[in-house]
Amino acid sequence: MNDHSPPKTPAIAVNTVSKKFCRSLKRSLMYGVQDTIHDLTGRSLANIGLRKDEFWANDDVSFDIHQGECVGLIGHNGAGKTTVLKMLNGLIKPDGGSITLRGRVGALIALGAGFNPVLTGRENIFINGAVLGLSRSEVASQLNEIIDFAEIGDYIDTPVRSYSSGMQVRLGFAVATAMKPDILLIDEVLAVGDLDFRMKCITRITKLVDSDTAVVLVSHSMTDIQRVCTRTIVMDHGKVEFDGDVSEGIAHYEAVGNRRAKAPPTGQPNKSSRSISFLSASATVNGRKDEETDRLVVNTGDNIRISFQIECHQAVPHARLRLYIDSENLLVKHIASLSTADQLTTLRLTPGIHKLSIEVPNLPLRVGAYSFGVSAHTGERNILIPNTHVGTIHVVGPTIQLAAKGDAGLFAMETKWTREEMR
Amino acid sequence: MNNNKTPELVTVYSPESSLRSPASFLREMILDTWAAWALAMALARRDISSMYRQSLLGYVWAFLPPLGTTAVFLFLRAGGAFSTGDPGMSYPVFVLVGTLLWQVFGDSVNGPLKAVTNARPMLTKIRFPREALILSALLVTFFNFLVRLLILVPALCWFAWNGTYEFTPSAIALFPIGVLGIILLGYAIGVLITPAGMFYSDVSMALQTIMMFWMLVSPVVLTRPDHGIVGQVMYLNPVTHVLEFTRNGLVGIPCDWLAFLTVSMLSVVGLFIGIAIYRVALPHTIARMGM
Repeated sequence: MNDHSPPKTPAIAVNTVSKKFCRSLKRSLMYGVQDTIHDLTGRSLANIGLRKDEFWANDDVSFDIHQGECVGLIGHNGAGKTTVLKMLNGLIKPDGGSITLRGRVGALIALGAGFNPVLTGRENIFINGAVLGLSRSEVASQLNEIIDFAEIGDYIDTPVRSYSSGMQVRLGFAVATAMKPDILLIDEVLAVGDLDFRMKCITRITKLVDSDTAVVLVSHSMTDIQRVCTRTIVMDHGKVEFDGDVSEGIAHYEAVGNRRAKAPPTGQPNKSSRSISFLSASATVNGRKDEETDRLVVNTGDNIRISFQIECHQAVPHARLRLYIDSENLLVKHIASLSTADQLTTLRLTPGIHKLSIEVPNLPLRVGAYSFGVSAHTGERNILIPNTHVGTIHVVGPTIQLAAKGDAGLFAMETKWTREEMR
Repeated sequence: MNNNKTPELVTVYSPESSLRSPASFLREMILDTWAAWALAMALARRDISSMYRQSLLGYVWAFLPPLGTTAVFLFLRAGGAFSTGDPGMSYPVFVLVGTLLWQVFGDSVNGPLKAVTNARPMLTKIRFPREALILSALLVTFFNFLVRLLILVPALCWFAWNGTYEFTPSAIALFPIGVLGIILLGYAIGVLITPAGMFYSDVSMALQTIMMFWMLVSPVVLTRPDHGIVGQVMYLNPVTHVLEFTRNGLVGIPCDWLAFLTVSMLSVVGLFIGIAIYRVALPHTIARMGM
């Protein structure tokens, strides 16, 4: 995207920044007054630790972002992303460390903040522009472009309260990016628009990045992150967990999520009450033995073989074993559910230890983290082992490129394009 | 590569109190306040044009309350509910001018906190020169005063026609100066209480009650007695001096310049301190406002 010129002074330098918040509102206000009085008397608060009911919303956060970089700030709810963004934007002060910014900062932390519902779209464009630091003539010169981009059309002269939420979002984004900032901070605002508009936004962000704007994008949409970002920073519990490559970052983020969703991982069923119990799992990737199923690191297209050892306490004449593949990012329950009944019409289990293996040649999953689990049933759908989390698969490559290359998505499929001359 | 966009603007955020280097604090405060004017104009225009848009009577609301108050007090006094000393002018002129000026004072006290409270969603989500909020409150106060002139001027003409009032050149010269003093005093108080009011809603609630009592110890509808405890309280009340100056000036009674200028100077100092506190307190209040 950009020529990798030797690193200059970063556009954004975040140096061991921390910020604390308070759980109780009454105390929070009291601390706010205390902090203000401390500031007014010129005393420093830097070495005051956590007071009662306080916690670190950000703890020792450091990173540099250069011009022309688009960094995806990802993490689960409450990980501290928005707090970082608000400190970058100067809305709130850090409690420790320092932040240095070079250039004009534009932020879309909330679209349409400052929209007055009673006034028309046109009137609001001027006010919103002024709030973002644009002069009246600057706004006037870009008015048509803003209206076009926002696809507002004739509604521009009707009060904003009659706009749909999508229209408000489009208008807000159009105004905010019209100022062409040196640093652009975006917080989870693309999610509101429809698909067409999201693509337009992404194109505009990419253009800004190409013209050397440093962009920080907070999003829960990994698709958007993959489309525009050149780097990711993963946050968890107020700390930076990972900083680097986009695909690896996403895998890391999803792993954090899977860890949360599945903890505690193993609650082995009581042996005496079950006729089958799960013992262990192992896996091989491309033929090489890899015992660690709690973090299998693979590439799309790898051949994977997963084996389970189960102990059978009494004979089960018609057993079924199922392997589930899940991703916490999807709305569907399972990505895949692979049963022994698909091939072995009868699985007779006699007392003793059994090893069952399933082979997935040419793994079709794209970059991301997936968890897998196993369950066992009798032929009559009685559950012998409930779905038990066994491990995770981290697909880390091949690296997903821009959308245009067609590498994004969940699955790789064997396809064939053809072309015919019609004339 | 876009080479004409060389960013020179460097911003640093740190936990240190900005008051630690008073010189740069002052410079930034003055620069920001200056830069905030354009935005303040836009915000004031927005507030003014949306204020009356969803109302049938519109601007009538700007002068209906003082007219009502005047009518009530004229009625009560005529009925002997209370008596006043010699106001030095016709009582209707005294009350009407007094209530209108009190409204201007009330507007300027309430304005800044109201503007900042209404802007909460914006404050927590957008970075902009925050001085614009309190400046826009000032502009709205001025605008409302101009609207109130629409009732004051015809009323004075009517009083002049029935012989209870006389226009003089000095009245026309002194009146704007006096109003400026009233607004300055009210606005300084309004800005000074804003940081506290952003933390605790007690401030705005208490303010309503306080303003009611304050009006009774100001020479708005009642005259100031020369002696006694009430006279003393009214004398210590700074509003008395700016209000009397303006009203006396308007009707051609000699004004107390010394008291007026003293109060105005104190207002300027108070306003300056108020803006400084506002600047320091804002990041803390925003952090406590939640996401």
